[in-house]
Amino acid sequence: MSNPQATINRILHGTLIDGPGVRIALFFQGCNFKCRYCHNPETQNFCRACGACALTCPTAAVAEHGGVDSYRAERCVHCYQCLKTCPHHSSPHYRTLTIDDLIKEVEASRDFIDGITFSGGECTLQSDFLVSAMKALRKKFGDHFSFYIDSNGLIEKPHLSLLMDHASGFLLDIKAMSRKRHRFLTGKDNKLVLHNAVEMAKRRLLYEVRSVLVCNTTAIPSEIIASATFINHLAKLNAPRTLRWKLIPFRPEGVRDPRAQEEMLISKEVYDNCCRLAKRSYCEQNIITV
Amino acid sequence: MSGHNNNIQQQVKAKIAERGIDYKQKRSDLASIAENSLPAYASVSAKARNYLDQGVICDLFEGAAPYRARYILPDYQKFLRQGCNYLNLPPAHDIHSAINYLQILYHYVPSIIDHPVYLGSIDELLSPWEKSVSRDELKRVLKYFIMHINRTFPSAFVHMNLGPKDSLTSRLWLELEGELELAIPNLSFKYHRGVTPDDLLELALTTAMKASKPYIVDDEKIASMWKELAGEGESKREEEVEYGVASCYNTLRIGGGSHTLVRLNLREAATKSSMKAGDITLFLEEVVPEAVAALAEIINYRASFLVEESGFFANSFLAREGLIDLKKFTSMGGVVGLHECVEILSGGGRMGWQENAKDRLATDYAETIIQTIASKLSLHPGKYCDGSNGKITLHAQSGIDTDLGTTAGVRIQIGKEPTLFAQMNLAARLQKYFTSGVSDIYVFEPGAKDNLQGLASIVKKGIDKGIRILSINNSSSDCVRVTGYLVKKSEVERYWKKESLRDESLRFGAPTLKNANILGRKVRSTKENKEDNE
Repeated sequence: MSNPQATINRILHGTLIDGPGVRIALFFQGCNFKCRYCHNPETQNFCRACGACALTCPTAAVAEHGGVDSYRAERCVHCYQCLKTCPHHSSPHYRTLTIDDLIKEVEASRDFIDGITFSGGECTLQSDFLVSAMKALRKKFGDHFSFYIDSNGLIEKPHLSLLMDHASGFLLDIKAMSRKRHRFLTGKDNKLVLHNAVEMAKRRLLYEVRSVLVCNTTAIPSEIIASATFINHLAKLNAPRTLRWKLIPFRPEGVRDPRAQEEMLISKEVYDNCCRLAKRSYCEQNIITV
Repeated sequence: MSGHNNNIQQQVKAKIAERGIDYKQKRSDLASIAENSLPAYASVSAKARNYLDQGVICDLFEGAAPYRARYILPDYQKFLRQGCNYLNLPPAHDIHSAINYLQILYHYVPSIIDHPVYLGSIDELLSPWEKSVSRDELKRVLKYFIMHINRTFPSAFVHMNLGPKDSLTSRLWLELEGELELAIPNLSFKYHRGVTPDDLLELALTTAMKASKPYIVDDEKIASMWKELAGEGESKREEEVEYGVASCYNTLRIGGGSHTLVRLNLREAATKSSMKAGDITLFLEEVVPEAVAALAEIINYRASFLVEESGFFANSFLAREGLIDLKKFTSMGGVVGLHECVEILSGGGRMGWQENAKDRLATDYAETIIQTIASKLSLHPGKYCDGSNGKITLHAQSGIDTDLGTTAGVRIQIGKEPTLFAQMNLAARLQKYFTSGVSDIYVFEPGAKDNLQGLASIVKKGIDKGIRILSINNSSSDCVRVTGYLVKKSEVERYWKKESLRDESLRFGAPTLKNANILGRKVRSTKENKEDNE
């Protein structure tokens, strides 16, 4: 059997917002969406070794034209100048991770965690690794840990069905209900996303659906009501498992384009109105606001 | 002598004319001036005195001539059951009489801050009557009870206990504390796996995310630690050994308490003896034994003065009527500044971290030092410490306002916290040595409130690992955990504007907030900083 590898941007030990309980979150490199409001644009693409970051790195932690392969962690002072410089929405910091590496990571925190969450980027682009990882972790630790997948929902059918066979739950981003707005925000259609949401709900695998509220795009009544209607439908399929709906106001942190930042921001008042409308349209106690 | 008197007169005059503190605070400060006009430590050795003068040992300004025990935990159960002759009160017969009698007795419980630092396990005290009134009425009654405590005992060291068993009183109290968001009373929740229902723990954590309290206490281990310790001495145990949580995380016997708390500043111990990197053996074999001997001497001097000279126990109706018993008392030896001490001895290693050999060394030193102090302290007989089988009990003191550059107890210095799990691992290694109290603080982003299962998991897994007492706080709440007690950020602002405020602990809390960089505590893990992972 081959030894599958993943490309990982970072690993977080001890997160409380990436699924139930205390978890390790793995953020994979690479995404099939190019969201206008992406907070971690450096996770979108793979390094092209163009050398741009080498020119701005103050400690020469990256060699000229070396990119990610030349990155030397011991020299890095974590100033993140490279991320600001990279013209390709990538990073010289990501690394490969084997299943054995992953097991070691889990072992280091095993006494404190309830499970592992695969996030991104878009982790399902590395589905083969995910499936192998869940199998291997289950073999090693039994049913001690749950496995959650945080996804944008754009997953091809064969991959999704394999992932659903092994995952304990999904955290799903629904970027917009309207196809037009979804395209505008992400560059991709939402048909498959919504279809997959139903598939996950049918298997009672939905833990949380998230909506990011963007000014004049998703922070409008018609979007909230359409989302609520759809999520109500999902919740019925998903029952008796509870389905949380999390409403997040657009946040400018990490977003590259300063004009986009300004245009997407919503006021506290708009956010509160959206939440109020959502609470009227969906089971209030399952709505998570910030 | 006349110079001495003039000096006292000046102090008294200045205190009388001081602005910004109220009459009661003045009276209390005037009493301290009077007490401290007496010669302190008349009969302690020159060596011990030297430690005091150098600041290696600190008596926490308890006063030169103790005339009341520092921490008193009256047996409120017994009081409600038997009534009180001195106060002319019969046994309590319903919820209203119980609350009323408690409110009366609280005013008669001495401490060094003029307010009771232990208010009892309120659910145990009131639950016998909780069913006799409606839920709404019970909630209303408890609300006025909290307000009474808050307004009449304006000090955040005044400490109420809850749990571990389920009761409507506990649930309503937690609900109310979440709604009221008051810094006073301080609150501890005793958690006991298998006894405390999960949803009650989650309710406690919901309250903690709003009001930065209650602290969560591992009931199972602390209770058994005290039972074991007290049981060693009592051949025939007549009464159940029970503990309560008082003031700033002092776990002491109910019906007893602690005569005194004197602390050893490990940072000063290392610097004043010119310790350098690599001097660990010297520190453990020479510095610690000498300093601990002096600590025990000072503690015993104070306990003897209290019992023999002041006659506190002979004189108190609490003792006469069996609400406190000298046989249930201990004395506490505290430590602070472990972080800095370890930093010095390891040559810059960061305890709790596991990044490099120096860090790992620091982490190991931390435990070795505490272990050594605990074993050395147990070699010295504690005077009038029958409550703990003649031993002085070890306590991780959570700091005072004048501590600059010295971290509370055995905590990690603010700003130098490692990952959440690394901090928990260290706390688990260190906390087991402290019979009479220890604490650690974990600050989370507000989003953590939506993952109560996660917060509960941190508590349970932390306790399984060996953590005894921990505080879960919310970075955005108005109540801030200063050292062990709470202040409200909004009131701290008013304090600096020199407004006269009711909460006496602001006198310590406001400067500490500044001096100890309390607001700089690492906020945990709903989204940890990128730096943590690289």
